[in-house]
Amino acid sequence: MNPADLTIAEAGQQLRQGLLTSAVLTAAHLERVAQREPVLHAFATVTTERAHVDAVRADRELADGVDRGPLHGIPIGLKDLIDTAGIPTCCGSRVMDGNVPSADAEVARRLVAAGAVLLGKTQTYEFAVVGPSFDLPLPPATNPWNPAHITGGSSSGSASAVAGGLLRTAIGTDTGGSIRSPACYCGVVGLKPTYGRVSKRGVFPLSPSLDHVGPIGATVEDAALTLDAISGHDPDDPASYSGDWSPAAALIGRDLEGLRLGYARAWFADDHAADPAIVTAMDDAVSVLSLCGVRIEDVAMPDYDLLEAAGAVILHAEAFAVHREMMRQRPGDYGRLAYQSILSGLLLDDEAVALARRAGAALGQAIDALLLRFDALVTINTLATALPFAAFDGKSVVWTQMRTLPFNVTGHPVLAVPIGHARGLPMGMQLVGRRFDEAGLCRIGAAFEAATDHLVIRPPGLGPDNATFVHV
Amino acid sequence: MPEAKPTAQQFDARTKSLDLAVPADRRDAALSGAQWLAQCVARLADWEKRTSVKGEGT
Repeated sequence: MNPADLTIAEAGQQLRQGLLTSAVLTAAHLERVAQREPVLHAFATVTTERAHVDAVRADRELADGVDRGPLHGIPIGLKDLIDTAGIPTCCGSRVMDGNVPSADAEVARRLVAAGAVLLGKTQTYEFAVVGPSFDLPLPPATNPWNPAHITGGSSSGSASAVAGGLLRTAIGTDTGGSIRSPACYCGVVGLKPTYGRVSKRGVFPLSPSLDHVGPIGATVEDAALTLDAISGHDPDDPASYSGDWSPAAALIGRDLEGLRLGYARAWFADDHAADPAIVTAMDDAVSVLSLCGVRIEDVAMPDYDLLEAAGAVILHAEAFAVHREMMRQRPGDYGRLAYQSILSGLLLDDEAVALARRAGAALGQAIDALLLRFDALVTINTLATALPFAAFDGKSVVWTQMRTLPFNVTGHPVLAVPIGHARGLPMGMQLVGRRFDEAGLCRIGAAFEAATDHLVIRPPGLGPDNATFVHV
Repeated sequence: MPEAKPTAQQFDARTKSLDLAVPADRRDAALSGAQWLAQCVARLADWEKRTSVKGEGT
């Protein structure tokens, strides 16, 4: 087997048994990048030299008995919104051309401390706002399942790199679904943690009260191990949580007998935008969970449109505040879609934002109340599969329906898990948990993964054993 | 709070007061977005009015 296809845990075991070196593992991933990046465009910057240096150090440390944990010697990618000392961080925008941070973001620092190998900076929609755009310095990342289709965003490169086998894990950010929707469109796992679990210091903000940093992984376990490496209190991030939490990987492997799951089917099943194939796949996924011993019950969620309205108001008001001065000084350096979207927030005032926060808080409490009755909630991720690039003209936004933004408003953790394929493109669900119960979500997600074969099927031409995928 | 349906004149006045030189080909889409956001605010205001008057839960 190509080492690049080993899970993080498998690679870690071989590294510790002396059957594999990080240098060899890293070389395997870099070879994948060389082969596939010309089509996928997943990276903004490939840090080949840095990766070699990190890998050699990781091998030397393991030989010396220094073990930094599960990510020791494992190649990773960082979304290009995340500061990396001495490495360009351009946020997918000409506005940030030439920006080379002098210090690592806290999440990058933690990954270094965990012994990870930085393979590169992954592409993002411009400032994590909207895409795909065709007037930026780099072409948009493409979907490994069909490069004529979008990845979703804004963590477009992280999802493409993991789905394409270039990495097992990469860091993304999520302000309205930017980890979860590309994970869904690309058939990989996304984990938006509870607000405050991962530091945002050194990550370019989109909407500070909605921004979350988290992993996109090839499996639930890959994502969980990555989250555990980047979690923890940061006294220099005002939003950072200082309480206790369990490791996300702690309960993986436990059965699901007796768990209770609320199925938020009414949030999407009757929506005309919902692809019937995804509705069917959601029902099938819930049936699989039932067969795993979970008690399922339909649940009435808070008003989706209201949660979306609250999120949209907060997001656009905060994004405009972040960008206002740069838009005044350098309007021509913004791509068209991001500029238009950010500017649309200019009429929102403090009173409107306060109203949105009151609604968001009330609706969040309603979800907390549901999670007293249920161990987790399950609902759809995106209502359709990834659209073709041909559906986008680069001038106006094409809204792709999803059910992700509410949990940025409420701050609940969400695990995005693949549930199958329609017409050759992935579909996915969201598992929503109690605050800081990422371990419970990963327990459910990993059991679902084990009970299905969704992750066995690989994108065409990318299967580890030359497996072919039949479009149905 | 923004008007329920802000006009182009209100939008342009705001960009001018903020000294934003909006490229001509981007103005209409941004205005459309601002009007959609105003509808979001109206929806939230209506929700708050209903819940405070009737004491409804969420």
